[in-house]
Amino acid sequence: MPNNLRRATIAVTMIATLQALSLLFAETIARKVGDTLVYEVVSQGHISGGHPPSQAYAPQAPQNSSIKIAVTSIDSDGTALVHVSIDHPYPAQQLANKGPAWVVAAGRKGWEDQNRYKEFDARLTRDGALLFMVDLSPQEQAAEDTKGKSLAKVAQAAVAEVNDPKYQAMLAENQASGTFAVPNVIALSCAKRTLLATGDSWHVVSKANNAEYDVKVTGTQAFRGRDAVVLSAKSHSEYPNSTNDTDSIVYYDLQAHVVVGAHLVYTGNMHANGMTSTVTTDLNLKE
Amino acid sequence: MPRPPGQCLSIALWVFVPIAGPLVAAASSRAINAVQQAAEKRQNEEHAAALAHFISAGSMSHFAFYQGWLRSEGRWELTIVQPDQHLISVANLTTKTVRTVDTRTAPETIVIDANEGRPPPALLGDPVVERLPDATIGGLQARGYRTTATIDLKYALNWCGLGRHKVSQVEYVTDMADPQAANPVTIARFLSDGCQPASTASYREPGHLVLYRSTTADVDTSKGTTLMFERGNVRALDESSLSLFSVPAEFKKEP
Repeated sequence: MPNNLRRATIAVTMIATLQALSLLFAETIARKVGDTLVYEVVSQGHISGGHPPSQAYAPQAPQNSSIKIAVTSIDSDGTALVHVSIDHPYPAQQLANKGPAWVVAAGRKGWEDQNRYKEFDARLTRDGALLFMVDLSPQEQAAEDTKGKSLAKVAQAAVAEVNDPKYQAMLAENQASGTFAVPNVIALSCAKRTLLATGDSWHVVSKANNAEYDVKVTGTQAFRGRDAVVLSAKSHSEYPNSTNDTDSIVYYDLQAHVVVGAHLVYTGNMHANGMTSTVTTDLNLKE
Repeated sequence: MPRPPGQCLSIALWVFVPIAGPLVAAASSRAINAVQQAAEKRQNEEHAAALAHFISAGSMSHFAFYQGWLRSEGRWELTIVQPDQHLISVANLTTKTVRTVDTRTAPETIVIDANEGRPPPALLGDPVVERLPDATIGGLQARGYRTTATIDLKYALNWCGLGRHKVSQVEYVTDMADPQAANPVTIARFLSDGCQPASTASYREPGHLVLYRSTTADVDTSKGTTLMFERGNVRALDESSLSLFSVPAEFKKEP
C-alpha cells in the first residue's frame, strides 16, 4: 500500500475511532434543579376480531396528553428527583355532541377536576430513564361499606373514590410507567453497553416489568433537530389464554442521554375469542 | 463413565407479583368521566381480587439440578439450562414449541432493574433469632428458626410501602446442599422476602437447602402480608433421570 494511502487509511481509522469514543464516553450533560423536560404523547387504540360489542370497532380518536418532568433535586449519584405532571386536556371536539349540554358540561368539569391531580414524584437517571415509585402495597380502604346503601349512595361513594387526588395520582403514575416501559428499557440497557453500532443487538431482561426484549440498533438519524440513535425493541409473551407483543422504535440522544422520541405498539391477542387489541403511542420530547 | 448422583429434584410453592403498567395505562386513557372511572376501578378491584385468590392458592413449579444443569418447569413454560453445552431451551407447554439459544452466538443479555441505585432495605437494630424444635418435612429432618426484626424501606418494595415494617420469618433448613445457594443477599433483603421474594437460599445456614419459609410483614395491621414457599418430593438424581433435561421430541422447534 502506498504511504499516502496508508496515512489516509490510518487517519480515517483514527477519526472513526474518535467518533466512536466520543459516543461511548460522551460526557453526561449534568441535570440541575429547575430543568424541565416535556413529552407530548399521542395514543390510539384499536380492536379487531372476536365478538365484542359493535361500538368497540368504532375508530377511536387519538388521545393527546403531555408529561412534564421538573427536576427538584439531584442525588449524589447524579439521579434527578423529579416532579411529574400529566396534562390530559379535555377532548372537547370528540365529546361535543355526546349528550345534552349539561351532561357534557358536567363531564368536562369532572375531567378537569381530575386532571389537576395527575402528578407525582419519580426519578430521572443520568441515562434518561424515568423510574417510578409505584406502591403496590395494600391501600387504605377508602370505600364506604356498601351494605344497606342505596344504588345512588354506592355510586356516589364510588365516584368520590375516583375523584380522590391520591387515586388520580396513582392512575397517572401507572399510565406514565406504561408509556415509559420501553423507553426505559432502551435508556437503561444502552447505559450498560460499551458500544452502539448499527446492527448491534442485545437481549434485555427487565425486572422492572417482568418482560424480556430483543433490542437492535437500526441506525442513526436526525430526529427533531437532534442526532439520534434509532433502536427497535420487540417483546413477545405467551400466556395460557393470550399473547402480548411489543414492537417499538425509540430515538435516543446519546450525547444528552435522553429519549427524544418513540413509536410504541402494544398488541394483545385473546385466544378464546380471537380478539386483538392494539394500542399505538407516539412519544416526542418537546424542544 | 457413570456420573455421581445429582443434587436434587424439588417442588417449590411460590407467589409472584405481576406489574400491569401498560394495561392500566391503556385502560385509564379510555375513561372519560368519573362514573366510567368508578366502573373501571371496580373492574380493577375485581382483577386484584382474582389475583389475590390466585396468589393465595399458590402455584407449583418443578426444579431439577444435575451436574450444573438446571430444569425449571412452571405452569406453562419449561426451561432447560446446560451451561457446559452453552445451551438454553425454553419450551412453551401450551403451544408445544421450543426455542433453543446457543449462548456463544446469541446476543448479549442485559438485566435491568428499576430499583438499581436505590438504597437497599435496612435493618433497624439486631434481628432476634429463636431456635424452633426440629421437624420432619417430607421425610427429611429440618432445623427451624424464627427471626423477627424491623426493616426500613426508603422506597416501596412491591407489597410493602415506604417506611418501617415489622417482619417475622420462619425457616426450616435441612442438611442437604442447596444447588441455588449462590448469589447471597443481605440479611435485611432476606427479611423483606414478605414484600418481594429475593432468594430461596438460607442465611441462617448458608449452603443448606431450605424446605419451608414463610415471611410475614406487619402481621398485626390491615396491610399485613405473608409470602411462603415449601419444597417437597426432594430426591437424588442419577443417570436414569437424564431425560428430564431433554425437551419432548414432539415439540416443534422455533427459529
